[in-house]
Amino acid sequence: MIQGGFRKIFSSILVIALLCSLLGCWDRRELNDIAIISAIGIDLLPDNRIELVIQQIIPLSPEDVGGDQGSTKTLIQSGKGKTVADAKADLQAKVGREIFWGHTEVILIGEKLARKGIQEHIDFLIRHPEVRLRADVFVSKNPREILLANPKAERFSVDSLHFLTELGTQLSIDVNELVMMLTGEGKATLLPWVEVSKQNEVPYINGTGIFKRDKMVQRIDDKRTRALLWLRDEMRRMIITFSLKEVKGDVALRVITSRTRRIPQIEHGKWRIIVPITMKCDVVFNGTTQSLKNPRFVKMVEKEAEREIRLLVSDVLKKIQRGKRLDIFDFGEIFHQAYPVEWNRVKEQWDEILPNIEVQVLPKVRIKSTGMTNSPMRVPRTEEEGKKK
Amino acid sequence: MLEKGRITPSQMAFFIFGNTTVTQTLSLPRLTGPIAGRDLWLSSIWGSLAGIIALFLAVRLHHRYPRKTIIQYFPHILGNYVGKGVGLFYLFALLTLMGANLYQYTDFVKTVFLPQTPAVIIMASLLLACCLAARGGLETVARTIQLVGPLGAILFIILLGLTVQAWDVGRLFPVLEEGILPTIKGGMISALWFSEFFLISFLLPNLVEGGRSLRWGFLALFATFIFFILTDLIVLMVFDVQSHIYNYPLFEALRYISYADFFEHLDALAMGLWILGFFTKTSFLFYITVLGTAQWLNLSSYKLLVWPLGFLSVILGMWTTPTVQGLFNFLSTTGPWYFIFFLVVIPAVLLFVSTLRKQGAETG
Repeated sequence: MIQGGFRKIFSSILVIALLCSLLGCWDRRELNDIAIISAIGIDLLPDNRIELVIQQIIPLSPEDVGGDQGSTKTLIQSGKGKTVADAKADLQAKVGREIFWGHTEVILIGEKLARKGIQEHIDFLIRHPEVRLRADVFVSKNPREILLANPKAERFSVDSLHFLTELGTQLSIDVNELVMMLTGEGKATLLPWVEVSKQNEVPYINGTGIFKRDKMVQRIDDKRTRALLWLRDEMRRMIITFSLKEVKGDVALRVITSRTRRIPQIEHGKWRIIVPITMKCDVVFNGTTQSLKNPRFVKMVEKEAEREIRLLVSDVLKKIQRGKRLDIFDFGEIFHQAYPVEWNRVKEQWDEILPNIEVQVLPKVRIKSTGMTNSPMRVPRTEEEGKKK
Repeated sequence: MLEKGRITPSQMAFFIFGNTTVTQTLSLPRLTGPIAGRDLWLSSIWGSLAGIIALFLAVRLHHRYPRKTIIQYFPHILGNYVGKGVGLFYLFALLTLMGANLYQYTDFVKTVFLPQTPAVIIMASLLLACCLAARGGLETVARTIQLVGPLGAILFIILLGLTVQAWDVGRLFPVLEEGILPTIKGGMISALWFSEFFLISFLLPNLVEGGRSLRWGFLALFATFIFFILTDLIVLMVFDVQSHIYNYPLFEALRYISYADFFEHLDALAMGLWILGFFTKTSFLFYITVLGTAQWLNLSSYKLLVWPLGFLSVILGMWTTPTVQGLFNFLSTTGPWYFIFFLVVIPAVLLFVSTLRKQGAETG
């Protein structure tokens, strides 16, 4: 039958046509044709133009890497323009290969740009289909310097940043969280601050940049950032060292788990937030002569740790909440969720209300383990000192 | 009868479940978000009322005209000329639904993965598969959907579950901050999807005898309802109230999944599932359009309509809306009224007139 012959020809043509489309139609891209980006930096130039710096991964064959340890693994290139998109176009013309953004893990924002406002530049990142909302965002004095850093232990300079955010000792903000903070009720935004350590060229996180809406206004140091993490329930892992009042010597605890609740209350027009922080800790250092077998001493250490945390957190609250009137702890959102009616009434005057909110920090430390020893070693001090003399 | 094939009620349930959830999961939060804000998930509750009404109408009309689809009982109820005229409009509405669906598919694929590829290629390649399915008849379409549907649904639910790492339940509160009105407005848009449940009236005449059509219909409706609420909640818990700044919020939520630094970049999988879903939806819509047109023209076979209507669908896919913004604008303003008119109001009028004229097989 003619019908059968036609059908055969028709289906073979169809199969071939469908196979062609498997290649990706007009959008086929070979690994050899694209420039894979691991990190980008955005900064403001003195002439008010935007500079976009990229860290391009240079694919090396195993032989290349094996022989020469000092070989460059990444290439830093930059483009300038009126906007990020403009700078990207400029950059594209220089790079040649098509820039592929899908593997961008780190986005660095320069301090100058951060102080001027970042909102419009974030637009490019969330509009671009390839850029992932998982990419971590940082702020630094000079993004180019961070990208150029050449840590010996990692493949790329930004890898160490990525590991740091994974550790949970520092603030970690990705594009999605940044967008939520920028659009949220708190009107304050936080980004981890990055520096390059001078001694071994490793980028590391050192404190936090604080933004009022989308403009950076202040930087707080590492220690205060920890208080921030406690207040935002983002504390995951950390070591706290403190000296005891009644006994001579220092004790260090490692936080195993930490959970912060934030309970808002409005009583007789008085706004209050109760912040119970429950922590499970291990003792990692005991510089006193007391034994941790003694429950009374353990209790004392716990009390002392609680005091230490309370002091640290109150200090940050005083400086940021009272001093700068910045809601970096999400208090606005907490009240919004629990007291929507009252919140809507005062939403506009939040800046005036924020400093007057009473915050009760109630840390609760439980020591779960004392490590592999319990009592400190008894070094016969007097005898040894006597010998020396 | 034009269609000799027989399907089971469970296959019908898959048809209609796929048909409503595929496009809803992709873009409903984006549409209800600006209106209902944080309460967008509540709007699905209102929307489901339209689904219950549509399902009820389809089943009642089916009881009155057991061997006919809506295109066939138009002339019975409204008289030959008026009936045929309304039937033509009805087919046109189906074609616009098809066009909107195709445009959405194309925009999604084009924006996310294939920006350089011409829209017509993306659209035509999907429709080609749908045409082949429709030529095979109802049973072929049903079997294909039965094959890909459960697999796709299970994978999709797993993906939804994986987003748990980014959930923050606090983002759901406060509930009903702006009162109940925004959720009802959002419910209108949600009702657009639910009203498509009336489309089972094209399948009911071909169900195997003794099938529990109503029970399976309600099961599909319930599953769809759960799916709506679930996806809305996930989008809210991951992206907060601003989720609608993304064109495809749930897709963004799925590609946000990242475990242990290597189980990530799942967008290709998500995309594949949506393409499967769009195939399900489009082949269903295309099949009923072809069948309805053949019935309207009193043809003896619908097979010869497959290619011309396929061609027309691609054209409508290009023409229904000029831009994706236009499509979203249509879907959140006139769209709900337009489709609810055809899928709920007209059937209701039909049932009313038919009851008045005491027509059809009255089975109670």
